[in-house]
Amino acid sequence: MSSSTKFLTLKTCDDKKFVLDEAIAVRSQTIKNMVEDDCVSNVIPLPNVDSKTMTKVIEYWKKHSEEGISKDMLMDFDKAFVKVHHSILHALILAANFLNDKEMLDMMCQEVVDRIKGKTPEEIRKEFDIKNDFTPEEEEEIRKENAWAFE
Amino acid sequence: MKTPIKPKTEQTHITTILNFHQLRCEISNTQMTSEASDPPPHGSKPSNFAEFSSTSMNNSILTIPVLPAELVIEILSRLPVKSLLKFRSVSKSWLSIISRPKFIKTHLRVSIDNKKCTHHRLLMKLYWANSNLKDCSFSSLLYNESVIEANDLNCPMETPMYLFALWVQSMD
Repeated sequence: MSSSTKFLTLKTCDDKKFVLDEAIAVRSQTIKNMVEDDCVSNVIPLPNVDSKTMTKVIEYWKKHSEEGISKDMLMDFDKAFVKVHHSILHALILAANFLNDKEMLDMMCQEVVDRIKGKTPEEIRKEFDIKNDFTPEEEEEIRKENAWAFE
Repeated sequence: MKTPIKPKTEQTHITTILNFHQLRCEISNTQMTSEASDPPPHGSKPSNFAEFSSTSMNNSILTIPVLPAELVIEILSRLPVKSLLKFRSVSKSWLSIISRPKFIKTHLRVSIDNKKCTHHRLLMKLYWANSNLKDCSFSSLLYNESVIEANDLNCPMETPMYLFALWVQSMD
């Protein structure tokens, strides 16, 4: 790396620090805006991201910034990357949204879609930790309206 | 096409996540501190990627982060219609999101922009072939070089047609 390589220090909500090449960190539009607006002092606080999630985000950023990496290799990497428990997937979606990395956000949302599209409402509630606030009668009524979708 | 959260709404959006995350981070801070003062129970480093593996889940990561409505919409807008109709009965808030005209428009836009047309089907009928109405996946026509599966639809059509092809959005 040339001597002009700049590093940024990112601090997650659990007070862990990550030193990262600025060229990689600006994959985050949020960080890029801060750098461009000259709002960056020593440490960039990321109050919405914990260190576990950030470690994973940086792993993704670094891989996608590797020089000369083939499309196939990236596809393989992405496939393996999204194979995580859905709680981590949700945390990554929140992080990608806060950091404003559209490419990553898209990939994560698509993974959720692929996982949930064949599921039942009960399974969805479990996956998203949603309380069923319908009465059994109301639920039955809604189901009846589109009964074919449940076949 | 891709629908990142618009800058206008970003502020409120971020605030929502911020509140949520503050809560979450308070919890994880507590966990971190106790981990830091004791040696790791199984000699594992806290930053080890293996912690993210789906096979090494433990109770502490089973708390499911709640996604704000904007992100739920982002996800729902990519689902096939059939799934959406099923998911109307998930909860009142999901029913309300899925029923909103604005959401329906967003969903249509996302479907149209779907480059691989995975939710699109082609309905066909040939005049000279005394055939049934056929149905096949549009993306298979575009991306599969091998055999394309076309299903007969049990839909009698009396009116002769020279060529009938209709591009529709999938229901499956």
